[in-house]
Amino acid sequence: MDGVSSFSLRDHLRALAITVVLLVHGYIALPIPSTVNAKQFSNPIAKEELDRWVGILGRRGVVLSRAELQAQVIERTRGITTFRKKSLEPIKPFNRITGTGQAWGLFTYPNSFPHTMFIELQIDDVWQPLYIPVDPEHDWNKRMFVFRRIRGVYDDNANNPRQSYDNFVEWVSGMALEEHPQATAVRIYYRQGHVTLPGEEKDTKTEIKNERILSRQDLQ
Amino acid sequence: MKLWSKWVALWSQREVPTMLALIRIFVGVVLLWDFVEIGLHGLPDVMWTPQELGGLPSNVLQRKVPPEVFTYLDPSPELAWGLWGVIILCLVLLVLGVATPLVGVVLVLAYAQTALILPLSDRGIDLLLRNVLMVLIFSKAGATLSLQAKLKTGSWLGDAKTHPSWPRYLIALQLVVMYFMAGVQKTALTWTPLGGYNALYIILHDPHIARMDWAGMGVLDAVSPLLRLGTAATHIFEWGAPILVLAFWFRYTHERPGRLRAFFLRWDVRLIWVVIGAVLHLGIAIAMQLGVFAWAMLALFPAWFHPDEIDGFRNWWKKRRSSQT
Repeated sequence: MDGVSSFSLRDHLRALAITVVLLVHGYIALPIPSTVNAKQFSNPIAKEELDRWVGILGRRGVVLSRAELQAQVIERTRGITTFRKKSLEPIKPFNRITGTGQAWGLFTYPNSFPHTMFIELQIDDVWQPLYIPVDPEHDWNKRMFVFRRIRGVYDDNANNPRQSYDNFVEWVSGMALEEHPQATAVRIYYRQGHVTLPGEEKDTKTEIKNERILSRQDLQ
Repeated sequence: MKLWSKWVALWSQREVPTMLALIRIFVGVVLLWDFVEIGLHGLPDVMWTPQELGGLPSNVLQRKVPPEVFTYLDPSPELAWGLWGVIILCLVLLVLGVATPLVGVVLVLAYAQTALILPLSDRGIDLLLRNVLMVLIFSKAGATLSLQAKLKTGSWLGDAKTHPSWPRYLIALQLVVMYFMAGVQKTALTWTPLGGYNALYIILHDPHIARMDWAGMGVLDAVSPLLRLGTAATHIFEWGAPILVLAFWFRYTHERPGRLRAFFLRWDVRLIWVVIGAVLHLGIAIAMQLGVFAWAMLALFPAWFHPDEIDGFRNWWKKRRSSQT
């Protein structure tokens, strides 16, 4: 705190530059909600969360149906997002090229409908498990599948599989068939379950999703 | 004007850049571990070549603005491995402390390209580390605990000259923003008392996240009260991050009076918060498979400490040992 009056031009410019950086990044970091659309609300986690909010609001005298609450959220987030997007336009190229920014949604919505990815081989017309997460008996290439950079590819494709999921399936199938010459095909799918809270009745229902089967002929 | 002068004074503080050097080394080691793993699994060409060449990224060449690396160079497995090689070389040089600003620039640009090619494999922790690398580029993190210091002064510790403290302050502030915003954005009711603080219970059921089949082993139901406590602690810890700014201010103005300041200085609230954070991150590392996440976060924790505190700790340790003997 000494020498308050003896700052050089460099000191002032440094403080100014840091102020600009703090203001810009402070603005980027603001937890402004992004646009939510009807498709995103079809996600079971979103539905469950909306139902919880409908219950809480109802107990406080704000009676809304799930559809009404959903419509309000969509309407209110649209305008905010447009403004935010436009105002951040000038800094976008810099953030893009440096891969920097402020987006810190870590486990924002715990996934109460988790998926388990299964990789199976067809040998003599019988499907045999090759990889199942957290199953020590079926741990083919486990270290690679749990590697965060690969998990990101298949985990983020669970609810809404995109082209990268098919690329992933093709790559994994190719590896599996190469390592197992006796196998004729590979099947990859997700089993989605539902986690209920402690004290609630367990939900044992599961759903098979995103099933893909690739034979040797398909890959050739 | 007086306020501006105080603001300038804050960002003109100086210190020996030991903590920045530690962050440089720790971040370098953590990223090296992460990128070496990419290489060991043979993944560079899988992750960073377009689907047309058998890679995972989709429509990467058809995007309105493709990644710059594909604008100037033809995509190929060799290019992907070359990108990986550049990053590994930069990380080795970063850890050694050679030409840190230049190495930092190349590293950030190459690292960002990997994120642009396959965004699905780039997580929040990567964004945070690139932010920190950007700060390190403008710092004197290579002036100590580096090969550069050894060659220049004959000592790994360098010449013990002071340099601007602001990069450390910015990294600390970045952590405060990150934790606080992560807390604010945890809007799911299961992170709150309204949802019974059951977030961790749910997260640990996810077989893609959990390190072991905790649910199948019956562990989660047995320890659900502990998980509630962990959820509450996480949420409170994140929401409480701005306390660090207050703690920093009280240390910075320690000569001033005030009960709250005296309380913060006596109990070192900052240290309590940092220890809780470290415990939570270690818990994450034990229970979940999030790769380098926990270790990368801990790699940034030296930002909370002034380099003089290392000497203080060393003296305290010596005194403690001599009193025991």
